[in-house]
Amino acid sequence: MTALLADIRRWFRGLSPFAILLIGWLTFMLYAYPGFMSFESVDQLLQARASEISAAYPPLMTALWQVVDCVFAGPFGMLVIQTVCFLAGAYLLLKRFMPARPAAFCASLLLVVPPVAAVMAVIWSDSQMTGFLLLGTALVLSPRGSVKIGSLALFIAATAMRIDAAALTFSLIVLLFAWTPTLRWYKRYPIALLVWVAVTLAAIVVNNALTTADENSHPWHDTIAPSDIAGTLRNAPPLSDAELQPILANTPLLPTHDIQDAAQTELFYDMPRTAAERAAIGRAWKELIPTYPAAYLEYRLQLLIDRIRLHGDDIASTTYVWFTDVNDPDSAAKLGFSARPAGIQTVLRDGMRAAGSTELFRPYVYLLLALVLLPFCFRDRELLALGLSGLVGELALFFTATSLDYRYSIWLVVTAIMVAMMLAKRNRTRRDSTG
Amino acid sequence: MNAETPARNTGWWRALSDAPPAAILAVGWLVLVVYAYPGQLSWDSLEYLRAARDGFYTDAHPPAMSGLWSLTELFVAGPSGMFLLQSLAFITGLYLAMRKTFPARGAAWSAALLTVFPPILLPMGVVDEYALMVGLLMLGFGALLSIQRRINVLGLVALGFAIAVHPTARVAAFPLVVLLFEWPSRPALRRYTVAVGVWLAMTVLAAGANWALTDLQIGHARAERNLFDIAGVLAYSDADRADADAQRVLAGTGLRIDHMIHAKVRASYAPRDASTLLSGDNAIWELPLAPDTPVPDAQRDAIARAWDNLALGRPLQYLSHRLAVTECVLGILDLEHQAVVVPRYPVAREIMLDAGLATRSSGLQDKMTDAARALVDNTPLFVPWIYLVLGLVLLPFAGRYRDIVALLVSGLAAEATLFVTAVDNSYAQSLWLITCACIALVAVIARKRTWKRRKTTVHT
Repeated sequence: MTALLADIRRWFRGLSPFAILLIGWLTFMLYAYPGFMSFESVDQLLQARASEISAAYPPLMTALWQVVDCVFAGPFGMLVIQTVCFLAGAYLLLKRFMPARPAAFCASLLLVVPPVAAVMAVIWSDSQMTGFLLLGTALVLSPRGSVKIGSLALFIAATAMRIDAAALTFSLIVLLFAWTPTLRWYKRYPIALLVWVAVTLAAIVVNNALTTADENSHPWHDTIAPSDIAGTLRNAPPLSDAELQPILANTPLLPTHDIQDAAQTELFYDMPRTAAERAAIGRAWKELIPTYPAAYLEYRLQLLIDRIRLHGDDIASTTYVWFTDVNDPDSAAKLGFSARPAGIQTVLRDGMRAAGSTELFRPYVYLLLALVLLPFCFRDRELLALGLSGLVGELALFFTATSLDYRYSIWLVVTAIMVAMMLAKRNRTRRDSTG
Repeated sequence: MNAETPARNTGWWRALSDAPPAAILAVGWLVLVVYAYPGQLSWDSLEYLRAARDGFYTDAHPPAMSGLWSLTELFVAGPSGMFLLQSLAFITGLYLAMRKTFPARGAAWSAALLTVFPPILLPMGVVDEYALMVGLLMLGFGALLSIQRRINVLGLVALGFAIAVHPTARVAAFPLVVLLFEWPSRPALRRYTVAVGVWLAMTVLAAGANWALTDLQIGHARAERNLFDIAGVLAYSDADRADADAQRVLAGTGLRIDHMIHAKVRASYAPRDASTLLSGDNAIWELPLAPDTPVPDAQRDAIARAWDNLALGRPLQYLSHRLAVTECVLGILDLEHQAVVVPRYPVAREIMLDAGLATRSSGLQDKMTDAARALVDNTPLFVPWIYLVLGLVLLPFAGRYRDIVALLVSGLAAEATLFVTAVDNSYAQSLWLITCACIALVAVIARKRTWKRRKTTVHT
């Protein structure tokens, strides 16, 4: 028995990094296979199959799913893409700070920790973005030109997945991209800045080119601006209908009287359908927000506090653990896809639902962690880029978030944990070398 | 690349030549996965899955299959877990087997290419007892060839599971164990005695496991086969029996007709499929077909008596019937095989969706299915008798190679059992023979070439 245990221990120690990553990925799959799908995911897949790519969802993701669905029908192909990119990127990044086997172990651990696994298991644009960002960040550090180009393609894909991803890629590209290592700073950073602008524009162009159902993407007019208007009105001083109606003229406003009171409800606006309505929303935003900046900031601050769960209130579970749209019993039939949880998966899903109400799923914890660790990152460009990326991304959400979904903060969570791992290893290495 | 640059010096060739064995195997396996994901299901597969989820096993099929499925359902719901098990067992065993003939990379290439060979790929994509049996037999065979004792024992375990999953594996495993399992430092007689003892132990354990797992004996499989034989004997009789005589012999067997019995049996009988006698408007016998409804004891006994009377009493007619069935199984006269290309969704959508199963295949899978159908319809690749002949032709050439002899004998013996046991001409039941013949072909050619090259080198 002792010899057998010794053999097992020797076998574990002899595992290659690839084997460790594979075990980590398979462990994650015990929870996530074949991939969870919310209403958005189901709708996106239906669009992909109908070849009607609208701007309601990231067109690049819908187009990608269209291709992937041709090989593996359903969510599994996309789950593989987002998790393999995630693992590969995390491993390559961590390997720069620690030996290969510990890096593989840490990358696997990062994928399976509940605050990360809860999002990476669902076919969302946020999950795709996270995978592409991690792999892109790892590859941009390569000395090979072709690999750097590949990393830019990944950054374009990540930016195309979410409107605010440009803020996430800013520090990653500006601080880490260098075509040759010998470039002086006064050439390097302007070039990197131009590359970031090009990546951002390319993402917009790609999304617009892929959209077949609507002409162009209007996320700001469709969601952010209407939410800002409603939120500002909620906190603004009392305004009569006579004052508000001219400002909100030609917008797809739902209430016809007691407009400011109606702004307290969620059904304040319909989606703008025409260019005139979008222009009216833009005009209303430009009139209201500069006039009531305090009300706007108060709305945004309250939204931030709620979103990062800074309030001490109990939170409902923020995890999504269903294979099809939990609110639509017909979604399985529409998709021709159904799944049941395996025995262990049932336990893991229940555990994840329970974990979703804990402190682990309060983004403010990771925001604080990132802020505390940031000063320690200044000496290391890669750490600084990652740390800043997570923080700047969260800052961008201050202005762009319209709901409280936990998944919006996934990049902050991932970068905070990774920076913590890398710093811990760096400090340990320094202690060992001085000790 | 210009015209003077040999193809072997180009990047792609070098990449192929230098690819690690694991990567080559992975690509071969992935082709199977892409074709079959998440694992194709047949009618029988759904029965296994239902039994696995209900935890209620009958002897309609070996309960070990459902038992294994209930274990994989702990980790992966649906067919994926079993598909992983059978496909990985198959390709791993195949690689280990080919390592006896080729170095690592060559073994990986041959294993990958054999895995994607359509006559093997198509049935291996279906989660049923045949594919699982073949996967486990392959793993057992490959493991028995290892020089490490621990791996040999794992091979025996795999063979034991194969025997539990399908009774044909008893016969298939016998030559593998007897010829390849060596207990060290023993004289030949003791070695073979031990090997036979090990095989007996595996068979008894497998039977015991199935018996222990069985919650209800329904006796359907034996009854169906006996009725098939009875019908066959009647069909090959020269003259029709009088109704009174037929009724006397077939009393209590569940006969649905009482007039022109012999003629109607003759008309309904088809050597390619026993189900024509038991279902449909022209069914001859009433046999409980529901998976958890046992055949009444009285009916079972009556069927057994009738079988003894007719099959044993008329051996020539019985042999003619069995020969006709075998011709259908081997595709000698009748090329139309059941379920070479299994329909992607065997039952109604609602039933599949309720069971948490997908009802939609991908575009690529549909194209692969169309290509498979074209191959089946237009090529002789899926005709088992070709592999039977190949196996018999290769046997003398394989005489020097114990492992290939064991494999060929295993495949041929397994196919021979169908002479007595087959009740339809399902293609998958010949899968082990086809696999053995293909492996033997590759191995014999490669080893002969190596031997000739060595001989030439020695002489020069």
